Amino acid sequence: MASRKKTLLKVIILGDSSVGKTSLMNQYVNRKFTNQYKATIGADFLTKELTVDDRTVTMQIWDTAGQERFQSLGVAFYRGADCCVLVFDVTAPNTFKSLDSWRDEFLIQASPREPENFPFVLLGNKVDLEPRAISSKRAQQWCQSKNNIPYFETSAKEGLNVEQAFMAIAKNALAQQNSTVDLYNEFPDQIKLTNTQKPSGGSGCCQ
Amino acid sequence: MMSLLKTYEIFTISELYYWWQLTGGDVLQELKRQGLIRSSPPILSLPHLVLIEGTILGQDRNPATLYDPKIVEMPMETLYERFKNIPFACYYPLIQTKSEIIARSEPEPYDATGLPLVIKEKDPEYQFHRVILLRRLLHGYPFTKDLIVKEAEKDIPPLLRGDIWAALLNVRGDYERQYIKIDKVTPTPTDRQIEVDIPRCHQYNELLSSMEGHKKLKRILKAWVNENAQYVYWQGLDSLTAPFLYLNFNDEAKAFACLSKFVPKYLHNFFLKDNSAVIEEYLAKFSQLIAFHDPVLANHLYEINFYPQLFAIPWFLTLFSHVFPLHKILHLWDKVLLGNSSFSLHIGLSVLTQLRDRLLNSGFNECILLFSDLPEVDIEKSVILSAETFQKTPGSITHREYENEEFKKSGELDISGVTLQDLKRERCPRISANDLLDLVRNSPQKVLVVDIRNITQFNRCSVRESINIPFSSVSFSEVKIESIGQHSSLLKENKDRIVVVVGDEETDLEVFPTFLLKCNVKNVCVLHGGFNVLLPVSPTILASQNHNS
Repeated sequence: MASRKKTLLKVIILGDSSVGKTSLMNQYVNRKFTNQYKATIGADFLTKELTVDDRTVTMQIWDTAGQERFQSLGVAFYRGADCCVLVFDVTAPNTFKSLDSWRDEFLIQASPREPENFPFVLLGNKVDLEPRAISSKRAQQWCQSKNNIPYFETSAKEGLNVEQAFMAIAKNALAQQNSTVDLYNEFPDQIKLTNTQKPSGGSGCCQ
Repeated sequence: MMSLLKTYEIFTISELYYWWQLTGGDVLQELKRQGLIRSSPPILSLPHLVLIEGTILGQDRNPATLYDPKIVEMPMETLYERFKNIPFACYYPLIQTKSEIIARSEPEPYDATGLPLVIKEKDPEYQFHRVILLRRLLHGYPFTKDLIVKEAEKDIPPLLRGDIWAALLNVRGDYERQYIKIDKVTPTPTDRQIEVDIPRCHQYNELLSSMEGHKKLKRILKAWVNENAQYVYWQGLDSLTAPFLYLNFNDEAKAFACLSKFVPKYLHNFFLKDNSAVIEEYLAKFSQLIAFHDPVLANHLYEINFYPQLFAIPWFLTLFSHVFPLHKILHLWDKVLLGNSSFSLHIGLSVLTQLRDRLLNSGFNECILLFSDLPEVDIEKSVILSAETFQKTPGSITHREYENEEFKKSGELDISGVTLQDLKRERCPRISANDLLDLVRNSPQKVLVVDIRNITQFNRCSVRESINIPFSSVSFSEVKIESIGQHSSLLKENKDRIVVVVGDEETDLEVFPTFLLKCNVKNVCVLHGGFNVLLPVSPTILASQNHNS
């Protein structure tokens, strides 16, 4: 937990297969794009240092496998995240439909302290491609229904909006960390209060 | 010249072509030289007009792509020159019966020992001898299986790799008919995942990135999912199939047959819908294997919370086929196919060993980045390292409950009934009584038995040559080997001996071995079942110590 003092932000990227999670991460960190990425199995990581409101922070980006099955192996990845980035492909309607389950799954697995206030950011990727299947309006409506999640339309291929999106992600993550940092510092996640149920059970009182 | 030509007639065209290429033959080069391929400036191949929806107009077809029935002779001189000193007898090596007289008149075997694998694969003469020998053995398969294994241990000639792998995997019978019968067409919910994965699967390879390659891979994957109702498609299965397809590109059925034999042997139950217990067990075993061979590294990774869960899932789920490029996978799997399902753990260890210095000098963040973009791993080195640790490690050290029953040892003196919960807690592996007995009987110099029961029990009955460090006599508060008393130097100077901790119900079987691990003692393991398991079976290796203490 000492690493928290160095302001390390853990950001996790979720979304269906081939919506461009790895590409977004690489475009942001390395400013590179290739359509030759291999599928991510388990998880992949990159870090980037950036300055947010005069503070230097290290963002640790966890890119995950897109196949839902991998969630059962992925509990270790979700823990301690400061922000969750949901990605869909604006040309593939199914990837938009899965957003709900990705969000729910994250809340169950990561079990943040205040699920309703946990920061998510939604990215609609591949706006350089035609034909478009999910309009901005539709995506924004979804965001509103989830407690006003910030929404960005990006193209990892052209680098469009990627920088801006990740800056928003960093700010949200930082805000989240500031609101919980003290609690985390004092008590590593082993502390159990009167509730004997596992915190990951998802059947807690908050729902 | 004539007689020489005659000898070549026994070869298949693919063999000849293969050797011809090794001696520098190049079809494109030859066609160019003969003026049949002319390169033209790229600008000339641009279309005149491209409509907005993509229709292309006014693009002349390159005449070189048209069918031309002309027969072009390829120059064979270099090949003949290279092979002219090969004695005639080498074309017909004797395999089964060899009388002493015949053996004496046989030509000396072509000596390539000590050459690196990549050189051997490029040496025309060596490949000539290997292909001649192995194709004969393959003709005799399955009756020559043992000989094929023996030869495969040396190396596998690339030309015959597909067939040799199939033989090593026991592919038999009418696999073609079986494959034809499987439904590979009906749409299923898995199709979308397969479709997005295939265009990302080893696409640097010409065959696998071709349209035909995509179609074939899709059919094989659909066939596999269809045939294995108990399993589901996990991402990574595409990568796992790729080497088989690449080697058997014109024999889809064989590629499928190989995959179908490979999974149960090496990745049993890895593709269950809920595979988490299987994978977690495998990863826990990996941690233990690291602890067994490299306590310093294991302790470091443990301290910085760098668990195999974070990086090794793609390694083991795809047996490295998702991690390395094809040419490396081929060499790696040449060895994998000769070992059992624990070999993959040793490969994992060999990768860590190659990165050891960097890992030891890195914290969590740097480590995780190191694996994100796995640096150049020397595969030949990995193969050697993993074969070494595999050979040095008693089989039961990597015992897994979820191993395929068909290949599992499950006698009374083997390990059984270890729960995943226990396994994940234990940092040092267990060893079976069978393996301990084998060590004590056959190579006592390789084992050091540490009995941690109290002195009375030890004196009454204990393993011959074992040392006694009563559990209660050790203060574990300070992590240094001196805490264990008089025997500390013995453990400190322990080189390669396997340290077997023997206790009973009354001793804690985790604290002590973990303490040794923390003190960087190598090769620490715990006797499964404790001392009492030895009582009924082997009075010969037990002794009363009264006389010598």
